Amino acid sequence: MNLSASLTPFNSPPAETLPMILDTLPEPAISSHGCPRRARLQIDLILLAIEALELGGSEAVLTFAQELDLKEIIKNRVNLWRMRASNPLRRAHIRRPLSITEAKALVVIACYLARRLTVVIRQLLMIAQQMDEKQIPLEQNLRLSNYLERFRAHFKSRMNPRRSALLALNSDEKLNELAIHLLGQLLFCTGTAGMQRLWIGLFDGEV
Amino acid sequence: MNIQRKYSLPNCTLLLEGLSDVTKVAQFQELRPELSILVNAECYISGCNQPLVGGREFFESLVRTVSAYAQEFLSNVHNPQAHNRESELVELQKIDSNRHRLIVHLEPISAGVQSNPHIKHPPIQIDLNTVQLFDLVEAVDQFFADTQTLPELSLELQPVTRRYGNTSQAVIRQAVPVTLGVSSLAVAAVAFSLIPAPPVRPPQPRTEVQTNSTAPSPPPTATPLAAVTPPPTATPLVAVTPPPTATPLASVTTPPTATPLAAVTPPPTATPNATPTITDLETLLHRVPEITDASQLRALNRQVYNQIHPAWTSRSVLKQDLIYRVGVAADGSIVGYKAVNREANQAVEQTPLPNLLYNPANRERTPNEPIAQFRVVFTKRGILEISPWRGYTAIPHVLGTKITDAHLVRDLNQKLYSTIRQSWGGKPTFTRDLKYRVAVNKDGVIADYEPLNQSAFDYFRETPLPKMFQSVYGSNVAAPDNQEPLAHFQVVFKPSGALEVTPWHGYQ
Repeated sequence: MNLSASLTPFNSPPAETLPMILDTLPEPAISSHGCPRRARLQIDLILLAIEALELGGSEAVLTFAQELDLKEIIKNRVNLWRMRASNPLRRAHIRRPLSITEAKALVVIACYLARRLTVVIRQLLMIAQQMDEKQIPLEQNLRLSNYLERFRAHFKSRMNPRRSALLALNSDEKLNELAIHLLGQLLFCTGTAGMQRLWIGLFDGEV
Repeated sequence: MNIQRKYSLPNCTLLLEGLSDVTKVAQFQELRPELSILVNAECYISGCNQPLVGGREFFESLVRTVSAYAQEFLSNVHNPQAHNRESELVELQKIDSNRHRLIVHLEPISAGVQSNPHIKHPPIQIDLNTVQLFDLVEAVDQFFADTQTLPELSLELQPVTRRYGNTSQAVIRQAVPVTLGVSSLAVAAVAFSLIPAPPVRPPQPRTEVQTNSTAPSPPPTATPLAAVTPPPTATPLVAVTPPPTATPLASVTTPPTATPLAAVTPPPTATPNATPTITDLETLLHRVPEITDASQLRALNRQVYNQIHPAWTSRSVLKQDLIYRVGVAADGSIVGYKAVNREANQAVEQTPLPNLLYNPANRERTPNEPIAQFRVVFTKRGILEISPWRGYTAIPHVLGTKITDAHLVRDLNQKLYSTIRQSWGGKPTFTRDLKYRVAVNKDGVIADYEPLNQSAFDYFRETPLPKMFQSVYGSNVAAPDNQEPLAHFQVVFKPSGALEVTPWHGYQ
């Protein structure tokens, strides 16, 4: 009898246990409760770049939340939107903390999405590199210009241009640079330790 | 026992050579012994003629710096570890958001060799683009993930402390060139590194995108006997690793028990090395389903060829044909092999097979993964022959979804013709038609190509196909992209210089 009783926890772990996949990301040694400002911004931008690469990218976030058993953390579209609106540069910025667990879930999903897009990311970066060497404007490549255009459109429609941090990003050219830089960061997310690297980097300068 | 470990990516190959600790080996007869003493480390970067070579100090510095710089790249926060000129042999500087300068200060050569010990070597500088940098980081991460190679070095990530952190607006600021502090530091560092430079110039990195000039293995000792094979030096970097996309979703799968682990070169005799592999392949085949679908076999057949062909360098040394039965997983990685004839058993070290066995650190294997079997023959004339072990049960078809819209296919047909026509010129040296299957996506970008006859294999370098493919995927042997619908064509290069492109009607 005792035996069967002691086995129960293995069969049905208590509801509050977090999905195992999040254990790959260590707890940061930060004092505050939620994620620092730069982390909230960076996560949102990475997801924005994914959406610009892939139509239906935000739907894919929810699909992966389901597949990776993170539904408890990212429950639905509204929930996801509220998390992303914790990015201080959003037009619809909500003064709500982004918890460490939520951030982990978003990072895990972003990296899985990025891995799925590895080939495209690599190709676009190579094209950008070659066009840059030949001094051809990036827009002349159809695939690249699709990505850049979508990124700029997403960025402009969602970010608040009156934020002082965004004053520097006042031209298409500068937004393109940001888009290409994010593409490079996405490539790094696809690597063997990409997820851990992205995660730890979010707390650079905060501990 | 001398052990080699290789971590290959399209633009970067890390090659480690070392020994295992004898006391430990005595305790566990492992299939893949631990490399615990590093003797030599080489880092090959595409577009750069010379590998970066050094000992343990160089290698440790390389992995520390590369790891720190990767973190800086992801967070845009200055990471002091990446730019430590005083105590590190290797440093990385950001030039702009797509160019990164790898600087290696050579280890001082012992005074006996050097006539004047006061001459300091100028540092080697290599400019990497972001994709090259990523491949370097990934090679380092694969090394970190490999617990059988220098296990005391592992990936340790720590956030940069507040002292070094820039303002919280770094993400946005970087879009405008670089944060001022970092760039001025970089400029100062670069300027400083130029001061002591004597007239001897370091090997200058070439800027072309051409990636295959660096062969990861030493140049072959002799050219192949059969003149029909392309010279091995021209073969591209071996991309044994599947692109990271192939990583399975579940990251919690337990490592399989039955899979063989071996990347050992060269063991005392060939026999003990071959034995565990034999048992492994056999056990494996008893436990897992076999892939028999003709179309899948055909695709895998090519992937196996693409792995072995460029890696087989010393082609003229065989006295007998060597025949192996090779087990291949669905993603094309070689998971086991068995010598079929006696010579094959003894001469396994003269084939690239031991080095091509998949590296368990690269990705996790699902248990009971189905396996395809191939007959791989290294002929004494230097020709590589690969065919399904049991042959094809049906006529294979091309895998993946296809573009069927007749108008689009016709447009793509013309587009492909003109693309190839423009980049194919000169007088052909071949005397027979070269036939290929070429697949393009809806934008007309090449997604795949496959030689269909022997001359197509032998003379593929004369066609523009490898270059076209490589410029998109970074490597000539990358796994074809078949996630999107493709249009397939038969392309024939004629000795007269004529070109034919027709829609694909299946294998004959």
